[in-house]
Amino acid sequence: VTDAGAGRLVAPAVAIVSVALVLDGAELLALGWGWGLSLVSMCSGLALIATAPPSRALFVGALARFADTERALWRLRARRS
Amino acid sequence: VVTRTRLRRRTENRLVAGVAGGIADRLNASVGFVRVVIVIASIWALPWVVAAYVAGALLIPPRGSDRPDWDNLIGLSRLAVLFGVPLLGPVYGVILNEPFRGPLGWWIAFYGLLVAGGVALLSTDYRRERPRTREEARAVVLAAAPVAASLLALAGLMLIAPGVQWEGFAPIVALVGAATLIVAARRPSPGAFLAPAVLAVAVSALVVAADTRLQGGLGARDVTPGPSGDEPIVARRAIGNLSLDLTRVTRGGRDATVEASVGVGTLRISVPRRVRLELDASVGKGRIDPYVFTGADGRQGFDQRVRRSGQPPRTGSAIPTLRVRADVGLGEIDVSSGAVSLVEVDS
Repeated sequence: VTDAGAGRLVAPAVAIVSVALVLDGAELLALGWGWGLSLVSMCSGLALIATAPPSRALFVGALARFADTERALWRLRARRS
Repeated sequence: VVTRTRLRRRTENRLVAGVAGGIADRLNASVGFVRVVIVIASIWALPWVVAAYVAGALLIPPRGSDRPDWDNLIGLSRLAVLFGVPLLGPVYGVILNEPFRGPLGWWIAFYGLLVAGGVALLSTDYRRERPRTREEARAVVLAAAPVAASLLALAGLMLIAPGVQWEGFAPIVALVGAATLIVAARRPSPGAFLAPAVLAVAVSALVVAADTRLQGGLGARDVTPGPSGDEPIVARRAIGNLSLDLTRVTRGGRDATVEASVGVGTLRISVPRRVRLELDASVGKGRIDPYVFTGADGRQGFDQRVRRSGQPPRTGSAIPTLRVRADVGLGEIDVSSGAVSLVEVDS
């Protein structure tokens, strides 16, 4: 996790979206599905960018975490021999 | 050479609490095989599998230790979120051979976010090579506590005061998550605060976007009202399934008006056989099954509404009129009437 990204990118975005949702709760705004899904997607996307691995090769978001580790490969080689 | 290790939960390359990995290491088997066995067993006996997994996570010590640690509590809370979200079953249930109503982008965003959230929750610890230190674990618990507490407080208020419309207060959960994240941004490692804040925003946005009415308490409820004169019959549930048996409301040939709403859950309505039905049903996201009408199709999607009137075929004498206004935020509306189907008439 790049902690600076979490503070700089995601925190303001989440704060703005929360204020919009509170205004909707107070019936001063009517967001509906279009805005609701867009705002949540934006927050999730920023969180994904902030937590993505630093290397471009691993930049496929959270799925990259399922990649084989050095240890798993070592175990596989040991079993074959 | 086959080597067997002691039964210890994995602290690295794990999805939830490392129980499957620990069993696989003990049996010298593939962890994928153990996970598939767990998934297949869940199809038959989900509660037992979850209970066994929780017991395993609490009782089996992590590798390199003989004592329980913070990590398994964190893994189990994540499991609770993952099992808690599908409890909203009807919201996510779709019928593949019926039209998907609403913009394609909304469908992709809704289910894409759901899958991405599940994968992110499951894979958070997968590449972890060592257990969390006490300080790291404390940061994770501290990060989730305000959002979890505000969600629990909202649920408690819905139970204590079922007459109040609580949906206006749901965005406060998002505000709590955002405030925690802003305060945490000054800390040395605010990363742990991201997931609770984004989850809180997602939950609040769901409630807001679907125009969910959170009124009437929590849990499943069966209601069988009798005739009520000129007063409309009102039945509501904030979260939970509501079964409304209206077969008695038109006794004595009197007209009746019914207002029913469910915030999150399924609303099942049974109407009398000999009645002229005027139905006005709407869902924020989910399905409406007005199968009481002959030849009616189900509607699934976002912001769906069905307005129909009907009566039994070959009606001789005058029959009472039943007006039903049904409203569900996230979930399903199911309207049935014994064996008789109503033929549509102009309202």
